[in-house]
Amino acid sequence: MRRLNLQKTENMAADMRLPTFRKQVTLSPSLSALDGKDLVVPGDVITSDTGFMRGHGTYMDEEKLTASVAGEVERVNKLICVRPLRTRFNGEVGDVVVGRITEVQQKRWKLETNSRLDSVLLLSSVNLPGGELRRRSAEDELTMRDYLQEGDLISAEVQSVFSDGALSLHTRSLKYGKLGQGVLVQLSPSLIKRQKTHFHNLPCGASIILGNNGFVWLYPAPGQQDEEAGGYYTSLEPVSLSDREVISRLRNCLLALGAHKVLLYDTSVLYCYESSLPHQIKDILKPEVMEEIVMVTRQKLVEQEG
Amino acid sequence: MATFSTAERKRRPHGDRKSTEMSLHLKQTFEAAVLTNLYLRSQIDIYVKILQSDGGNYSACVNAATLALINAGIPMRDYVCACTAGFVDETALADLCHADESGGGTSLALALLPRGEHIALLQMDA
Repeated sequence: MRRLNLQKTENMAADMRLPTFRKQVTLSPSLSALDGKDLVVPGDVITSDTGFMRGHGTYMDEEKLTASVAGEVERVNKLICVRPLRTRFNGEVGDVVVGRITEVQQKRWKLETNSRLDSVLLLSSVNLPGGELRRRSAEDELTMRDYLQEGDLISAEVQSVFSDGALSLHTRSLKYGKLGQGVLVQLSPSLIKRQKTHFHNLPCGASIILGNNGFVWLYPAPGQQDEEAGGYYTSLEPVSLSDREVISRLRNCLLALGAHKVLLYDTSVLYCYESSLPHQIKDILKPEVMEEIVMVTRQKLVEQEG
Repeated sequence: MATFSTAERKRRPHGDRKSTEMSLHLKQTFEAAVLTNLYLRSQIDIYVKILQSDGGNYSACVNAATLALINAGIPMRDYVCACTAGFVDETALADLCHADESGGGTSLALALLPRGEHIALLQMDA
């Protein structure tokens, strides 16, 4: 019979708060984010000029180009499209996504990537263990589940888009593959800035994958890269406390930036991390502290640009 | 409709004739407003729950669903706005409450797309 050793902990103060209006964090009015942005709602006529080509988010109504979603008007030469403020992830070729396996089917996996349809990862689009190059046999089909099961997280790149809008992914590079220990943060896809690379090793001691679909993966910086494994090897060694604290702080910073609709890229995440250092990790989730941290981050970003 | 939404507690909130009719009208209204040709072989579900029912149920549902669809980023032709109008005791009324509707006069529910002035649904009860 085992004896449970209950230790009496000292009373911890519980923080309770009543719901109030959240003040919107903005810089000085001259730097208001609405300057130069053309916001439209469904039904707004963008232009009556027939010389323009219509892109996503618009439709032709009796020779008048009208918006069909609520968002910003983007004009690239002769192409006009409206990017909605809030939408599911619309993938394009070359985007890096972080997805979760939902189904294992014949010769393919289905992933959930915050888009309208589940993304598809074909068996022929993954690297075989050991890096062999051969045709996938029936045996490979039967051992699919040994590699990726339902619930696994992977990072992949969009190879193509099917006609119905589903994305076809591939992990044909050593930097993509199954993700091991780390933290996933789910944010809106429109907050992720498009950059040359979405894999960053932050100087604070953690690494980050900013998926274009809004899924951000934080993981401890890899020590030794095992090149032969090719995305199969997931380290199950215990992560040190300092690494875990860095990752928790980063996760709370990401939530703070997401709540205040700040564009996410490696520099903004790093500035937010630095400005959050004076606070305790769990305090970052409090609304006032979030506002303060985001204000400082925005200030630093504006200074950096100017 | 929630059970606590009406003056007398509703014993059967779903599946009664009025709710089914209202659901059908909502479906027809939004099929006209949403650009469904962009969503082949897909289904868009709209769930509306009425918390307080005091007349103009259909109008409130249409207005709420419009905002929800725009927030979700689903392409639509235009906003869909709805309201009721009525004629009770020789007086013209707008946005009727439950007492006006059940008072014996006529009531007209109108759902329209304001920019192009297209009428999505026009329904008159006497």
